Amino acid sequence: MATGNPSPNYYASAPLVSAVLEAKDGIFHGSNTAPDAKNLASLLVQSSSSTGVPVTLILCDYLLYYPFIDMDSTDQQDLTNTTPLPRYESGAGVRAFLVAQGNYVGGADFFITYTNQDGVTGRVSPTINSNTATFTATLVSSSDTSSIDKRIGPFIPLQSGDSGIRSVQSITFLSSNGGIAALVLAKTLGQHIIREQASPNEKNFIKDIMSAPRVRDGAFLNFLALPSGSLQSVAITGLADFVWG
Amino acid sequence: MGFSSQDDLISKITTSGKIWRTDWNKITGAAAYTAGRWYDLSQLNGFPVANTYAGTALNATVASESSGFGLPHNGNVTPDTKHLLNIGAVSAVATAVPGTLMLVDLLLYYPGINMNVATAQTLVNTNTLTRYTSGAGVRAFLAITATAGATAHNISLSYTNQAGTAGRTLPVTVSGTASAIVPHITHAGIAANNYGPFLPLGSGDTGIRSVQSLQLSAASGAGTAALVLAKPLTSIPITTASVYAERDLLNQLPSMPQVQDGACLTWIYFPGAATGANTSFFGHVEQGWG
Repeated sequence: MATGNPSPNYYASAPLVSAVLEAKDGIFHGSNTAPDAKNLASLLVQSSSSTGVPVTLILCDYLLYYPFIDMDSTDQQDLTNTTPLPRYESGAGVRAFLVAQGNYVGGADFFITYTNQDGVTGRVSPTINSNTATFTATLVSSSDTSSIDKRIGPFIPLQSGDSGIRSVQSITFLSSNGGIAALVLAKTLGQHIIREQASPNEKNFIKDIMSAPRVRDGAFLNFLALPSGSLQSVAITGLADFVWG
Repeated sequence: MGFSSQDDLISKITTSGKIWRTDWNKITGAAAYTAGRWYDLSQLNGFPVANTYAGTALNATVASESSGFGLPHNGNVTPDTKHLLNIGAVSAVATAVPGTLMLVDLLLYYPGINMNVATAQTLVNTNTLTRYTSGAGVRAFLAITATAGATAHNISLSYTNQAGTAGRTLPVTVSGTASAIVPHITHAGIAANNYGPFLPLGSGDTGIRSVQSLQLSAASGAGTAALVLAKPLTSIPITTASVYAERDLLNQLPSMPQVQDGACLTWIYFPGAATGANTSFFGHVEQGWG
């Protein structure tokens, strides 16, 4: 949701209805390559700012989202699944996070009901607690340094035995939390860090860490960030190399 | 099976898609942790869900991927073999670092060990190891599942080693921790006669096949514990808050530990500093097979 290149994504579409993001609106990784498989080869990240670093960056393929969840409502909010997962269709390895689309208060418990990677419906996440970071783009479901034992993140935990989410049927807040949010289904691809100011950090995903994450055709790529301080007005730049064959 | 070369490995995890990544997160709960002790993170909330060491007290209970509290790793792959490629972990909490996380395959446990009796507790081995069945490389730890009492006590075991020799005992005096909290591995710490994370083995032994009995030297006053048999797979230090620690197990530390079919992957944690309550950890485990 941060400004820059690529342009910010505000999760703007019909409330509570599943929607997808276009590859061209995320970190650009070239055109489709099927039948070739495309993989992330290397990643460089850096920041000229001293605030917020060190910061951990989690590269995700954003698959599907449900926007404009009312975090003030204590009703069960049913989500409409007109559009299914466009990639990782079974849901195996797909995780959910709740991101604030505006400022909020926080502190409320919530849970989701979902269909798991095997197509089993009626799965219920553990009840977790919203942090009180209050700002747009914060992962509501993420942990912080508070004394609340239900702030578990960045991803919403799953019911016992599940390894992923195929779709989400509802979200319920147990008390008013303030604000609106989007529930996002994503597949993590890799991670990187910026350790200090003005120090570019390079990583080869074959030689440095045997991973070579697959980037599927149509993938919307972007980062989740775990900073050590405020990321307000902090510029982060990077370079990603992709290979296919 | 396995990988005949790096080219073969790259082909299998890219072209063949034989790769799986699990992202996990755990939060420590209401109690602070003490530097120098070890803690069993499987009992914590987060993903995967907390392990309650369910089962009949003192009866060997087999743990597997389907138990639900281990990291999911996409099922069995035989005749292929599955191997750890890389792991990572981070905490944003300053008191969580430095620390060390150890990944284990939790094989079998004896739940409901009574920490408030001084008589020998006979363990029932109707169920036996389903992985690492000889016991070679298999180690034991005693994890608190309900807060122990304040009376000092030592721990003794009678076990069968990796060669099938029964009647083996701990070679030294091993002390549990008075008032040990959940999920402390009670014999791990910096006090006299503490050993951790694993109970020491008798001379010449390299592992444990089964445990026949456990006895405390004194009733602690309260509490329960689970005696766990586990195979350590790998470990990773986390040194700096908000800095994602990574281990490459192919080139950086060539080992590629095998993850056997049915493995129940869980973490144990060694805090290098006093770790505050409700400290959150996030990390991943990535595996390939071929």
